[in-house]
Amino acid sequence: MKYRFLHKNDSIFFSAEVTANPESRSADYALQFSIKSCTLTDTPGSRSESALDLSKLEKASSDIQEKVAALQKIPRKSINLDKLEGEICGIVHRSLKDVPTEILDDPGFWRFLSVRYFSDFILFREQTALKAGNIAKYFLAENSTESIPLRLYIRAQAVMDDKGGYALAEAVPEGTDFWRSHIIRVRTGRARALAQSFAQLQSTKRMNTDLLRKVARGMNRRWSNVLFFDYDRKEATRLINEVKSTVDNP
Amino acid sequence: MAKENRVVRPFQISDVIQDWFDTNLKLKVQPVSGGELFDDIILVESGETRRLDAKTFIDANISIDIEDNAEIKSIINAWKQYAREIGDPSGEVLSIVLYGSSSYLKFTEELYRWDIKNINSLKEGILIAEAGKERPRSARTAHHGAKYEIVMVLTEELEPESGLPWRKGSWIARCEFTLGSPLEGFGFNPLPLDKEKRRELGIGDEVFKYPRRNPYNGELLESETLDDFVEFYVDSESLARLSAAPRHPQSALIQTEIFLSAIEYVVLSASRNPDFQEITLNDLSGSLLDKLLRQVSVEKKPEMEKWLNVIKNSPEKFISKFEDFIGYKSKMIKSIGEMQ
Repeated sequence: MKYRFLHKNDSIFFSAEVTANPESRSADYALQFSIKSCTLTDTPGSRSESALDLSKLEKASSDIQEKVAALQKIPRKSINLDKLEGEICGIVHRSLKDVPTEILDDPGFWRFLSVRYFSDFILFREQTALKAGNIAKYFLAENSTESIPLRLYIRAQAVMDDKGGYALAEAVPEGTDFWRSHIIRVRTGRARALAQSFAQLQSTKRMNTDLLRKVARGMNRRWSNVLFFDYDRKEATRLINEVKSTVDNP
Repeated sequence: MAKENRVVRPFQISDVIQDWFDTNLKLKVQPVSGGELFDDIILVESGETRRLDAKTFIDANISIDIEDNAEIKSIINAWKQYAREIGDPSGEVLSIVLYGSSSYLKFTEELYRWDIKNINSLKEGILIAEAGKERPRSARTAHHGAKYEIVMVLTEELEPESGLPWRKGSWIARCEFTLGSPLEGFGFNPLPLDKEKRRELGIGDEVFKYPRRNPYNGELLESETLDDFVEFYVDSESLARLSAAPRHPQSALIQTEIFLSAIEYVVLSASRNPDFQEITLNDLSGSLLDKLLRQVSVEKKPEMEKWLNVIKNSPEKFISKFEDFIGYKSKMIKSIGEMQ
């Protein structure tokens, strides 16, 4: 299957351009850049002439752009950026669910998506990094926990329910640290029932940062002797509560 | 052979089952080209990482191979013995599970599961992915590879007892095999040298390869990968043909030559820099040069010191060391053999 990808150096060039030149921070510039710089390639081992259909993502991208445009009109302090990620990660996952794994595993594909479909969102979401001249890591996709579209995809993948719903992905208010440090980066994010139960508990009985970190550390320690892939929601909830009670009452 | 320095466990485990895993299980990769299985089978031992190019990974037969003389009976006996020790004479609270996972896409999938009743079928080996057929997700992550783990786990919660596993999911024995990308760590992606790029770089139509310092990074000590330091252009048509048949001996030879040229560019750039004479191993930590030194020195610090001095004073010796390290001559002989 044929798909578009962006080379690492082009991604760095794009990041340098949007950093240096505010006029280039537009969807139109990103579109023109992606047309000029992205290359068509084949999935490894495939000779199929069929092209990857990204029409669902195009629609999702325009919805996300509308959301960003609306948010740009209100004071930034009143915007919950993590809530926004929670709202859109399900849309991203759903619109990419038919993309072959071979393509999802290619960082060049995520670099293309970052520039072509997510540049508005990335530049809006990561304004601090943009001002500090450090925006490139969000476009590079070297690391799956930094690439914005990929981390949205992984967040939704981690807690998607059996019916393909993503309610839990947006259930934790102010959950940046929760998702980044305690789900996506660690093995908990690969054991769906455990990730679902953790998100459910954090959304209903919110732990403060200190307690949350202690509980997450306790679970990570248990991973070294126990594999939680087989746990159902009930078993996972019991486990997290047990860990919580041991760190509450050491 | 049984592995030493095992992880210290908080409960009693079965050394017999762990030894059986370590001794008898191997990951087998049989590459495919043009629909034919290659004879040069790759066997990966427990705890090892082998690097494969994307096309080989995506086309190959991947399986868990069991040693010919492995006795399933011995693992069944050990299984029953261990089950009795943890209070379950039936052995039904234990399973052996094969997981496949991707560190880039952050998923783990269960591929196979055996219990005491069907463990005999393990003798036949386990086919994870077969050329030309639908592959599991963990056999499709061609760019970043995958990890396969075989684990004996407790499948039910038992009454807690000191010194014994009781929690569901507790693992009793485990081995893992990793298939990675060949350039993982070095991050080397040659760029296509087409007509437009030849014009831009001012080079002729018959030039096959051309390295250029990366204009967006290019600082040697800050470069973690080859791509960070050098833009390495290769004739676009040749690059496409090499990608189409990566395991062909001539293709493998040319890819090795391209890689060696990039390494040579880096090493010579370092040695020609007057400031490089003052550089210490600590200055290089995490950099591309650090990775090169670790590779040729098998992670031994005195050796790394020695080879750093070689780069400073006789870079050509380091380049020849690297040529030796990646087995260039063998690839050359294999390639010449194909011509006869």
